[in-house]
Amino acid sequence: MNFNKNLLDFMQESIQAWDTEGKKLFSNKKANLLYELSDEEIESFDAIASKWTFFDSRDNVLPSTELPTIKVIQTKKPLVNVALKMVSGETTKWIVQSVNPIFDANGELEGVVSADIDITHLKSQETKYKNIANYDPLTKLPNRLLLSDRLSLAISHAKRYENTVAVCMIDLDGFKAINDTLGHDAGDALLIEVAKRMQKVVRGDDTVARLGGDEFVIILADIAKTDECAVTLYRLLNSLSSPYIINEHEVKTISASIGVSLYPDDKVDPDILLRHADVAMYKAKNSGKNRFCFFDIASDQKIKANFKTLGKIKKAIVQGEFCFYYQPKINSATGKVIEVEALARWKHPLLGVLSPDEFLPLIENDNELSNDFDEWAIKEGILQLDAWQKEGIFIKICVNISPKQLKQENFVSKIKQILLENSIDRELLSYLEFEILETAAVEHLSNSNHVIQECEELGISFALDDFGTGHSSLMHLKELVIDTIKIDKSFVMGMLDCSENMAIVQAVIGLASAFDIAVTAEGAEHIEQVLSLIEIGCDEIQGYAIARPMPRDEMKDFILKFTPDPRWKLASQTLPSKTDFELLLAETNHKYWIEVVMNEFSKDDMNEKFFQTTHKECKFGRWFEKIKNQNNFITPNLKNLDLIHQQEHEKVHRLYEVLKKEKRAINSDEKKEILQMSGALMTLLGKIKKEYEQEKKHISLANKILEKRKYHGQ
Amino acid sequence: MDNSEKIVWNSDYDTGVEEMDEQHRILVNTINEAREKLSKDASLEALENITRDLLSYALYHFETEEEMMQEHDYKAYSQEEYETHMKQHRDFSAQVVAVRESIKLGNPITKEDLIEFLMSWLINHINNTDKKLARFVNSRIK
Repeated sequence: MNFNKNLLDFMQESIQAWDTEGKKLFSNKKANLLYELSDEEIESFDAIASKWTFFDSRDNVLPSTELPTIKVIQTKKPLVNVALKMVSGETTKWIVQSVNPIFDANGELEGVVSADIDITHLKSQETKYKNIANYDPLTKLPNRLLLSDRLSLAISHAKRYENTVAVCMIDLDGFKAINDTLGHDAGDALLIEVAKRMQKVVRGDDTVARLGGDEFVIILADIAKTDECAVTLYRLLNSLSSPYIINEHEVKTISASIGVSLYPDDKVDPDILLRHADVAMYKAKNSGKNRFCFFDIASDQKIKANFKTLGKIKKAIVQGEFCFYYQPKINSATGKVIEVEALARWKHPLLGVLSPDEFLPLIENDNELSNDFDEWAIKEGILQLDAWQKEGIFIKICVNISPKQLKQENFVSKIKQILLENSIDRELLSYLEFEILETAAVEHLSNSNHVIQECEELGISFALDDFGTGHSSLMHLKELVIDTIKIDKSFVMGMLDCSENMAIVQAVIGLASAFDIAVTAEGAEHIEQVLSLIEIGCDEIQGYAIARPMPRDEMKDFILKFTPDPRWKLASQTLPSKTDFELLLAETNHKYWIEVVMNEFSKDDMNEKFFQTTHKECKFGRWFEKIKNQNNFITPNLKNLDLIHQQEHEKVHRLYEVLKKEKRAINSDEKKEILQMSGALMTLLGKIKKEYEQEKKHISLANKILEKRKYHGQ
Repeated sequence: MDNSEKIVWNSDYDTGVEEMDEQHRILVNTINEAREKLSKDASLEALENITRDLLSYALYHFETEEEMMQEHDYKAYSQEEYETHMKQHRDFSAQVVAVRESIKLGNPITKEDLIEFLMSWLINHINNTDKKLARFVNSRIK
């Protein structure tokens, strides 16, 4: 036995034998070395299984029941050449294990013999080889092999998430000259620096690879927009063409030519993408170097055109080509200007004054630009407030900003900085309001947003724009920190000829008052709309009916001189009961109809729909029917009203037929006739109003008498 | 013109001023792309993206042309042509803005109407307005 033991200790393999219970029969020196256990420590297989954790070739942990030794004891069948990784603390080893069952003379299982070969040194070399195979030794960047792996991965990712992948083929301009004049070592140092600069410009998930020589490839993965890609490319060009210090020489002659192909705009195959990027790269080289070209000519031109436009907007901000026009907001109770909304205009040197609809969509689509623009807007608003206050005009200014601003940590400090730089008192901020689109506001305007809280502490208020078009639910309204909601102009403009719009306007006003939030109605274009808005309790009104947006100097005059339409006073003085209100609405609706009809009569192509409704179907008529049903008796005035109204409809209808037939516009006599009728109708309505007031007095008198009687127990 | 067909650039559309022609080709491509994209995806988002591209393009291209007009004093040559040209530019932007407004209000223009507007505007503008400017500019350069 001793002889056998000595023999086993000489062997290069580690050999161990276990009985069917897993007790040690023997373990040679090599085995003790491998498992880092002394002969005494190895009493049973458990000693090994508790010191080491074993992994299979796929790096899954093997439970002890799955270990070859245990399996062979159970199955009595040999397991040969099983590759295992074993880990204990910091130590990792790889072995190849073969386990054979041993049977006695009767064929009963006596135990198992396991022979292990340590292959750890081979494994570490393999890893090294893998690195050599996948990475460029000079720059430590992925090489062509790994690049094609990464590219396939990026494409399958883009397929799944519907993103764009940009493959950028980069060739250095002026590299050969460096190699020739400063030597190959300098060339290598330059390539290392180039690799570093590239890695700095791209994001973490992008791949920078070196193909060899001075050729590199960058994969920009997950681009949402091609503009995003252009921004990175311009940065890259800039970075690569900045001077280098190589072996104490300043090198200023290096730049890059970049060719870009886009997946999925371009073909699907990764190889073709690379080839197209290569073609585009040569195009960049041939058209003057230090530039990029897209493989697809059309998108190449479009992206560049768009980039130029954005660059122009950026320059326009710096050069002060933007300014504000101001549109007043009137308090409906006092008829005074209480606030102005600042609306941006671009005084384009060639194209004239451009409206925000023409440039804001472009600005909002670009984060950096939108940031610059908002900063300008806030500053401009604050400076205007200060200027007006110095002239004794204390009026709020409402500035539209992008909700993205409210995510910025330094937003408030930027505002404070503006105050500081212009020696403006902080008190002024209570005249500043920020207006944010409803669609985007919900996630940004919640109570939990500390930027908002800090703004509110400074006295800045918030308004929610275009209310009704977005998705704010009641729940959200409760959570939002806002002082004003603005009813979208589409509802206000349509409120007199669409009962649904009217219902929305009324509902929003009711909602706002429940949450103690002020309401502004935007887009009031006719005095009738203004009057109705006053009637239904809207606090603040804005729109062409009051004033169009105007330059700041005109705005100042407007604020000083504005006197509201005298009808306002009437409307806001007689506080409405529901009946009064309905009457007023009927009146307004009728006036509006006449206005529309007269307008149509002067057109060449009259719209038939305004002439089809009969006197019972129109809004006024429906109101009248309702009144008739509610009251048991009809006063002579009401009867008369019905008659005139009917005649007016008939008149309008007849005139429509005549004008259509004769293909001409309305003449002045016909105009006069209709207006006279309409005037008579209005006079009658006035009388009916008085009747109502009388009736109200009667009712309240009667109520008083009844109360008194009750009191006396009668 | 049948708007189911791509516009294929041909020499009839050349004005003879290279900068102008290059930019016109971009607009043709934008319109072709718009048709292709919208036939696959006529979502509001797609419409918004396309109309935004058009706004951006308009700022870029109109500025180039109006710069040309100023440089060569087109106004002095023909006040009427100058004003027509400027008006067509303003109309284009106004139309695109109106399209965007209609998207916002929930009754977007149909794909066919949009493409038809763009194509007829472009062809008309190139043939009747830009070519006059190009002739004038070329006569000044030579």
